[in-house]
Amino acid sequence: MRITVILPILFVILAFSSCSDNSDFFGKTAPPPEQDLVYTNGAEPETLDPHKAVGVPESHILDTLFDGLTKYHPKTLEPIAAIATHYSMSGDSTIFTFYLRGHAQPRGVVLPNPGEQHISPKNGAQPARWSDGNPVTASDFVYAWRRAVDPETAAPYSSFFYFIRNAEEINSGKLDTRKLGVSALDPYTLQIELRAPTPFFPRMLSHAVFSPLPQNLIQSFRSRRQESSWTRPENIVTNGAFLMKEWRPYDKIVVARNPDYYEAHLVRLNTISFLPVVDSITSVNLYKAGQSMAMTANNIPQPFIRLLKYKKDFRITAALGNYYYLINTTRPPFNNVLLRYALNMATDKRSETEFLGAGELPAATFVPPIEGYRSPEHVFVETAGKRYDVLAYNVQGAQELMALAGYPQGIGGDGRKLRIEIIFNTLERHKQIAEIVQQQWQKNLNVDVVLLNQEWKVFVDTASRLTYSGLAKRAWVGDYVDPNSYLDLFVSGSVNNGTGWTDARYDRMLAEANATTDPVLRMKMLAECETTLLRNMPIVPLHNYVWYYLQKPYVRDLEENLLDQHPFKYVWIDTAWREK
Amino acid sequence: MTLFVLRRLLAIVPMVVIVLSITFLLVSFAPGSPFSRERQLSPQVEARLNAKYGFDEPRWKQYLRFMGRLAGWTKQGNETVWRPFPDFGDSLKYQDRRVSEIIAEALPISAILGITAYGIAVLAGIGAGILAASRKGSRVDRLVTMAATAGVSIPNFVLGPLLVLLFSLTLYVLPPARLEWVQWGSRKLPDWKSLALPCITLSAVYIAYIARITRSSMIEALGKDFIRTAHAKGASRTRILFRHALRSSILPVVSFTGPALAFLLTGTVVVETIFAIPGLGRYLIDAANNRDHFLLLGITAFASLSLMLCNLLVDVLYAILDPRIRYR
Repeated sequence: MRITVILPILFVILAFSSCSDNSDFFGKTAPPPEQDLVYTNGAEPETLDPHKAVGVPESHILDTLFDGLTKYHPKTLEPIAAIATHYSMSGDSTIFTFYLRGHAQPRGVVLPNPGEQHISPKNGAQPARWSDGNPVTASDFVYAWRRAVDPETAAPYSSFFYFIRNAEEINSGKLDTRKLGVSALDPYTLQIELRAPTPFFPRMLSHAVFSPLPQNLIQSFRSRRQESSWTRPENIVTNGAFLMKEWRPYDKIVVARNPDYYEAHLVRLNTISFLPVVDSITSVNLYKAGQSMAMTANNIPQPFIRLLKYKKDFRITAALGNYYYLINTTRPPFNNVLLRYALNMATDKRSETEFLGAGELPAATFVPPIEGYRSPEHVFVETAGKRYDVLAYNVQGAQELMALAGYPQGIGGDGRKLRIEIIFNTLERHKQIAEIVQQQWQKNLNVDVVLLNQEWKVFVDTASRLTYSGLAKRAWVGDYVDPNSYLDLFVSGSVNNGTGWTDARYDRMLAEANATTDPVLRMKMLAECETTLLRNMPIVPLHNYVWYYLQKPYVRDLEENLLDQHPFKYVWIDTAWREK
Repeated sequence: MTLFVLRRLLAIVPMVVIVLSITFLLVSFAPGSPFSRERQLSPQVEARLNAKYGFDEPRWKQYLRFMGRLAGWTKQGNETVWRPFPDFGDSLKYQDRRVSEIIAEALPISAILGITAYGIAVLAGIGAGILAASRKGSRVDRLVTMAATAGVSIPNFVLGPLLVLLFSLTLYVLPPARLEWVQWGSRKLPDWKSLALPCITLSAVYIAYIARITRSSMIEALGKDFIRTAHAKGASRTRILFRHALRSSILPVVSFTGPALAFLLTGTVVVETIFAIPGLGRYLIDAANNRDHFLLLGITAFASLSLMLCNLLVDVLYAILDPRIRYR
């Protein structure tokens, strides 16, 4: 055979032989000689200003650089001790007092600390320090939080602070920032006044937006009209377990162990290199070649999942995230709730998750599974003398409801089939999901389903400004582990609603539930809110996410959790690990 | 000649202004805001951001301000000062960084990658073309022609992953992505191993084109009378190939490689994405996706400028290579 034929064939055979390796693990497994972690982190961070960062990639890096009052527990995500070691709460859950490291006599509830069994006087009485040597004090929190709600800052997550007294008024320019309900009682005691009882408030505090900030540094840059420059690697002052060492945009961010950290003895990694790699195939390639050791969740091409499932270093875990279709309830015919019920009841969500194949869960309800919370199992509605469970897959019921809505056999009053548009941003995965739904509705309801894809920015505007007719894709990852992180999307005035459905009764119910101090009762009340939401069906829930990723067997204590948030200070590399 | 070059250099200025004006119109009329995202900003926050970057003003005002900044007028506090270099403003996505800084960081990386790929393309392409032309109809000629056809037909987003699969994930001899840097005197330069796959991927299509162009124009030249004369005069085969035939057949290659150099220098979106290389190409695609107006305009300015300069270089090379061409 001629060489011109042999060469390409050899090339292809050799290349594909790499797919069929019999190892338990995917790619190289030799640990590095030192405690230097390389983590593929998704997109290039837009900023490292905790008040301006919004993405998951930024949150991973900010976790290493900044410590707030609390940090996430590596597994449960419950708040654990960080700059604060103790806190107390007033009887009505409206005033929280946090005692910071350095306080001589902290009181109240001891925040758990998985690294240290006890907050001993030795480590608790010493203040935490900024990387410039100054102690981290309560006034650093006061300054930071005032800055976060200052309209000048234009912080995307400013609404997180709205639980604090006057925050919303300050953020909309009606009050001065000094009116914010947060004060430093002494250098190491921080008092927070909330606008209403909010027992779950401490659970939100591990979010990076609640970090303290180095006041003097930011002010000095602000006075030179270069405020955004304070986060540059040569300027930034931090208080976390790691220090900024190097930032080569689109190449890597390297953080190195902070020797003056209050729990420096717990930190075993010398450096962490965060690689900004968006392309999922590149991310997997780097991992296989041993150039990265772990990765941010869901950055693996979908076709790889079925192959990787049998590898020991492939991990799948539940996520606080869901995928659903928004329904524009402001336009006919979808202003008719019967039609919305019919769409939900005609959707077999199981076949969609079987196609996705990573272990996603079919979603009958809106709030993803959260420990201690039970979403309604059924929502019954009665119409025309019949009772329907609108959460169930029930084609017959869906057809009956279609007929009641004026579309018997899918045909409208004008003699034409009902036309339903589904819009999504241009991505193969969204298209495939929409095609499954399209096929089901066409078969089950005899309607015409039209799929429309839009470029990302156009899609985002279309969905949020309600300029679509029919349905629009939405995926949502909660900001904190609480049903409110989801139910809050549908209160009046929420910018993330996307359906046009609001209900003053729902707003009241949610406010009452959130003000309830008994946690069990609160969860029950929140479930009632979800029932009300689903009774109005402004969405079609499709599936609950899972996180899937690859992690080398020698990377230890990088735990799986609902938010893909990791306190990197506990992570270490087992350099002695060998594949048996 | 000098006058010609000066005239062309002066003509570049209005051309860049026209390119930027069209780009400005396109980006400012493109649907979607730089600040919109699935997790929506509150209307107050979005209004603040729009005011900060002047997007709340009429488009003609935004255009004039942008052009003023290009001409060197920048606002400092409440005063407008003039500096002798253009100011492209801040990136809207990478909030701590200025457009000029981003270009200054990313352009050298794209340029290193581009120049290396260009060097490989020119050397390998011309070499293969000469080899094939000098042995027209032989096995070598057929191999070169086939390889060139394959090179033109296989897009780099297919070739890149195939090379990675072979060299990085099967043989584990080259890194699958990213540039590793080594100290080279006082500078840091990319390690050859990490440059190898992206450069080969990038240059493959150019090698193929150059080989095809060189081969066909060499074959044409080798059949001409002056070559026969050179043979008759007893010139060696090497001298005939390189001194006589190549010089007259290189012009089509030069006119192809000029613009090719411009494209290679200013970033190559696909290869930079596949190999996670922090060059201008990745910024360009991100800027377009994110409606990062100022970054997009800055990169467009550099890309158009380098295209025009490379075209000028081609014209100058014409005159040097072909004695019949004279510019006035």
